[in-house]
Amino acid sequence: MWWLPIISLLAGALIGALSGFSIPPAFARYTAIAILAGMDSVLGGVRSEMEGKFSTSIFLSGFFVNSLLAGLLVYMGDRLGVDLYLAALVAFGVRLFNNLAVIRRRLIAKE
Amino acid sequence: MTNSGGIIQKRGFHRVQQFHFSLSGWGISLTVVLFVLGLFLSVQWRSEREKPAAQDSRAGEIYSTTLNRLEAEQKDLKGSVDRLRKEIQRYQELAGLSKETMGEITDELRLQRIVAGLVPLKGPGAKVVLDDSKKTPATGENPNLYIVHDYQLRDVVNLLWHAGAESIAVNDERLVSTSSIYSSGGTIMVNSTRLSPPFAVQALGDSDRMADVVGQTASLRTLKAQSEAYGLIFNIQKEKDLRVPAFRGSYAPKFLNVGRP
Repeated sequence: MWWLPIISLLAGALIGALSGFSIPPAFARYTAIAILAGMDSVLGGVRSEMEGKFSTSIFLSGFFVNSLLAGLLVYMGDRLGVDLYLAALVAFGVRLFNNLAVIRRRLIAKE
Repeated sequence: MTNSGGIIQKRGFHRVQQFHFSLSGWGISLTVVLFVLGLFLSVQWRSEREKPAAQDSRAGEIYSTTLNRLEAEQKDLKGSVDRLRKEIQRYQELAGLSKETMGEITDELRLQRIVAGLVPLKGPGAKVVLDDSKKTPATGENPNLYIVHDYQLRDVVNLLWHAGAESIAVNDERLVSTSSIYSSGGTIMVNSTRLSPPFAVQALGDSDRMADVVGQTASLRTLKAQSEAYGLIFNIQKEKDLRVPAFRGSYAPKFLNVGRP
């Protein structure tokens, strides 16, 4: 069953590609950050599962709330004239790579 | 993936070496979350690909309004140059009429005006038409091969002068001693006026000779090859009654002084 999430990812991508729905250019910045936050959450979830600390409620709430909040924060930043986009980008980017590194180490250590 | 094997989970204890997947809470939530992520990723991917065009069109809009305004202004100014020039001519003719001695000078002036391109002219000649190809370029092919370029237009004009043309106009832009033909951002400019295809080059002069020279195999070889291979439109036609308009620009020399021969 380990492939179910991957199938699900591909199914989501396919539906998105075929739906014909597209994000208005004005919002593309916010959704981009939201997606980055989402990716961070997913990797964080995988990592915490590997560490045995996984909690469904934390994972699900983290995914949706982080994404939403990241987008909103960047939007607020744009309205206030502060480039919070960069702050979110760096913060999530660093965390994403951290999580990736931990997952990689654990996968290798398992061999 | 091995089973975690019944190790009891407590805070501080980790299943260090096991990565276990089952359709438990974690599996289902990961599936749901990845579905949403995939959906957003692909939508964003598509939107991002369409975005540059949208931004360009916004900038393009500003440029095109500016361009339209400037072109309207240019047209206006050309109109007033025309009007003022006619006025000058009228005054000069009046002066010529009033004094018999001025007659010769007036004749000379008339000839010079014709040569300078300030008078619309008519007569026999040849008309060369250049136009973009109606074919669509195949993928991977250079689309530049399918459109008319400034150098091609220049070649045609030069060849027509060479073949004895006495006066030439391109799409009603009269070529004079200061005329230029060049391309700016994909459009061809003649006398600093934007022209769009098809380009009609009207040349007054010996139509037989011009048609002959243009028809020679050695003339405009690449243009003819391109016309054959890519459908670029290029043809010449003899005309009995051609008209070329007057030059609508202005001569305003700033650095010229009359030298002594």
